[in-house]
Amino acid sequence: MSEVGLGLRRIYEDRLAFAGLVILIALVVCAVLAPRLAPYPDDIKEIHPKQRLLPPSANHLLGTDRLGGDILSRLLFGARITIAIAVIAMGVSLAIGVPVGLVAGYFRGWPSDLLMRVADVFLAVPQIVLAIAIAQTLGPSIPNVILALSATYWPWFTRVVYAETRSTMNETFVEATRGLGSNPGRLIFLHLLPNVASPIIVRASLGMGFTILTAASLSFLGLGAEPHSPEWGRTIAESRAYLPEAWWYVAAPGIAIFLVVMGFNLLGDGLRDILDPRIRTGRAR
Amino acid sequence: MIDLLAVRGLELHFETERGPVQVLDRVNLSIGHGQVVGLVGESGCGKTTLARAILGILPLSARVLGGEILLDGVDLLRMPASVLDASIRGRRITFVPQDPFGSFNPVFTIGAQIMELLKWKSAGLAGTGDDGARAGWMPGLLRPYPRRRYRADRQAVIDLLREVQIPDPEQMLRKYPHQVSGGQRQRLMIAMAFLPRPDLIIADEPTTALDVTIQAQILLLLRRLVKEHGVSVLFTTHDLGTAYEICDKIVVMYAGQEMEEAPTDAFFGKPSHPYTRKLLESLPNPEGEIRDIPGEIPGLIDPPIGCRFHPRCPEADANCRRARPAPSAVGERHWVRCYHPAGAAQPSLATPTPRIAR
Amino acid sequence: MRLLLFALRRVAWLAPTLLGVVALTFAISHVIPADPAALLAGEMASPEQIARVRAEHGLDQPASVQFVRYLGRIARGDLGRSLYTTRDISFDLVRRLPATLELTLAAMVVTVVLGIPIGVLSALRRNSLLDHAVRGATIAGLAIAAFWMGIMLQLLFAMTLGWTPLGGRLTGFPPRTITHLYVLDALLTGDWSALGSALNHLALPALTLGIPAMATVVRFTRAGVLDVINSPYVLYQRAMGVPASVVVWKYVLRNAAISTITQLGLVFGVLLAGSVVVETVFDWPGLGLWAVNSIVMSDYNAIMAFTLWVAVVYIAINFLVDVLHLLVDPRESAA
Repeated sequence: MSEVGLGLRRIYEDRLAFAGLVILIALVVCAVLAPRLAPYPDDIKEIHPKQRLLPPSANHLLGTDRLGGDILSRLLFGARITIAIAVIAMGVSLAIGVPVGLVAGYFRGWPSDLLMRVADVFLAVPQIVLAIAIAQTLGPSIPNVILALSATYWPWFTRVVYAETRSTMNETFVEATRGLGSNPGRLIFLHLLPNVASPIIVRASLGMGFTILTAASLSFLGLGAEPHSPEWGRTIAESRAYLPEAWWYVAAPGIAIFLVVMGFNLLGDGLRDILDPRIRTGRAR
Repeated sequence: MIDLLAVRGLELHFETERGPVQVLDRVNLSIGHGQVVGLVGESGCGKTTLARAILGILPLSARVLGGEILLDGVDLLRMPASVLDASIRGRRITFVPQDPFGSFNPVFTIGAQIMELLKWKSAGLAGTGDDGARAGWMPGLLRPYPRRRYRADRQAVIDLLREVQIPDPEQMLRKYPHQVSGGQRQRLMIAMAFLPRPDLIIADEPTTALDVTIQAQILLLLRRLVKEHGVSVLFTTHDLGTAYEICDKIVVMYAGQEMEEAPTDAFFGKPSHPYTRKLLESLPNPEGEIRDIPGEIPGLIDPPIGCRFHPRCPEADANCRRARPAPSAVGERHWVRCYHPAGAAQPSLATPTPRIAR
Repeated sequence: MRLLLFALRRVAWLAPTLLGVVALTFAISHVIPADPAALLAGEMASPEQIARVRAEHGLDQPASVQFVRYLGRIARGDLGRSLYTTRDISFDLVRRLPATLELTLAAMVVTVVLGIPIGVLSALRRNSLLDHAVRGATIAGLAIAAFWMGIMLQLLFAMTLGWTPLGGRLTGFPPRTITHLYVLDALLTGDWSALGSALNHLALPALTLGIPAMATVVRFTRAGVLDVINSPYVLYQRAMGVPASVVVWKYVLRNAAISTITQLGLVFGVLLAGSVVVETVFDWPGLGLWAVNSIVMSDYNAIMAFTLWVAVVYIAINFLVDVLHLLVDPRESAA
């Protein structure tokens, strides 16, 4: 059975991780098929003043918002934004963080130290604070939020990759190969790849959840999505003025955020247990 | 004379995801008063599990399916945990672990940990009517350490540390575990095992983690103390040479079954079980040759039926595969569980070169 | 003595990082699309006035020169002038600090007083119903958006039940000022009505800030205790019959506490980060709300100062935690 097949099988066996995976698949489906699934797909643009702030009913399963739009439909479109932000921000973080970590781990001396110091500087500021600074400076918009998130998350990948690379470089076979006069580069690469893939995957999965929360917070603060965007954090911010009467207006997007982040966390935790051989075989005696 | 400790028919499983691991298969073992018994076998043969079962410190996944462990006739398996804690562990039966470093708490001084042990287990408690380890009405945490007993105990500790040749015992008590060498730590462990004046010491591979040069010293020390204090010892090891140095009687285990039991000289002079013979053959002989045993230790989730050595045994036949042999005598106090024990006229095998004079 | 050396070495190590953070904030603040001179001069300024302001503030100098001057100013504690209020930013910062401090301390209390015992119990009763419930709760706790939870708590307790106020720090007159922390001051001066009001206002924000952090604390406390419980030295003590209660409460706890201390810095970071949103939701007049107002007003100077301030505090707290760890763990100090 291939590695991937074995991996998927293990996810299936770990109930929680599997639940996480199911949630995420549902999220992707909602996002991709939003125009089809949404009962009122035009509500992201159109307004219906006569139908503002209606409670949940058969017509509007989650009620309507302040402009009469169907909340369920808008949530589904908001899922697109959420996924886009999470995936792109993570991707860029990976693209920056992994190579930096590899280089820092492979070489020794001051270039390596310098790179890690730079990473430390970024890590010295709590992510949301730095993201606020960046997003504020560049101007509130979703692309800028993505940029801010990428710029603040990459050091986590760098740390993980650096640790793994350094430990591989310190292995005796590297010294031996060098001692024999040949370049262990290819050997390192082959040895490193499987070892470093696991922590990266785990960190990416856990990081997604964290990124989504931070993105929602930024939008809530007015730094991300523009007004009346179906983005979940933005919706929560706009709902505040209509509480406590329109409770559904604030509850729905919040629960959506919760479910999605839960999904990523469960999957990430499960992957960590699956991919860490020590935990699996630990209970031998 | 009744044995101090008698294990009869002990059957034990570990529960795992892939099914129960049958670690001990109706094992018998007896330890006499003042006797040093060596429990010998390869890793995974169950010797450590047996030692821990006697102390009652098995992992949570362990299930005892049958048998008894009799200490002076009283079954430890059926004793309530609180009584075990209070009167047996650290009192009548003490423990010398394999890993002397890990067995000290790194953030407390050595003195603090030794005195903690004695607070509950010192010999001074016996006969005073104050069962120190019993919870009583005051929770263990709040119970004070009476000053007079403390001082007496502390002096006993200092004296015993001198006996185990720790230089400057007072200073040692103030140190932290990471400041002490491996050999010294094991001496401390041995001292702690003797302090409560136990009847039986369970030493689980006590020299395995030590340098070879230190091993001899520790064995010598242990043997001397055992003779002086008249204590019984259950000594587990995978090293036959070590067993030869110090044991009165040797029991060989393989894959959860005991195979042969004999006084040491008879064991090395007339090994009868094929596995024992293979073990002895695998000791490096004077010519420096090494022969190992072909095959592998069986997995214990689905162990071989009957005698578990039969897959690797040159003498195995249908009987061996069907049912486990009962013990049969091949000499005075020399038992073997085999359908084909070696006869009297066998080429004598290498005896280990003693490192310490017997 | 060794402690002093360690502290000095650590500070020497941290100094470049601190410098790096200053450089980072400087770099970010120089990426702004708008012209800072124009902002300073005001909307009605003529081009000549803008040019004059630019020269005045040295904004026409090359970036490296500006950076050095910036460093100099920061070293003197001058964080610049707010573009919005035109007051000294350091003045605003100090004025808003006690509110955030009070909130953070209250949240810390919630986190530690609830989180650590729950983590310990969860580890001791591993795989029991309690343990599973706790683990589920921590996973959930880490998945809830703090700002949303704050709003929902407001919805329930303030709007619907009316048990707590909607926001703000106090209703009525504040107690006589000693520490600037209302709860403490009210206690010290015996001002019971102020105490009640302060606590009432503090309740929801502290919970909102504390509960996500609590999830983290429970997790690593549980891991720490489990680690110790499975160690050979605990096995040894139990094998020798030392009573279980003594082993757990005297020994296991001490070992686990040491590993917990190192994680406290992490918790503080979570609290710092969370304060921004929580103060926004509850209209809590602290640094976080100030930062958010600055966002709304495009007060770049204030945002940069805030970022710098948070970074410094975070680094300082981590440094203190390192020192604390050194003091507490004999393996370190005796080495």
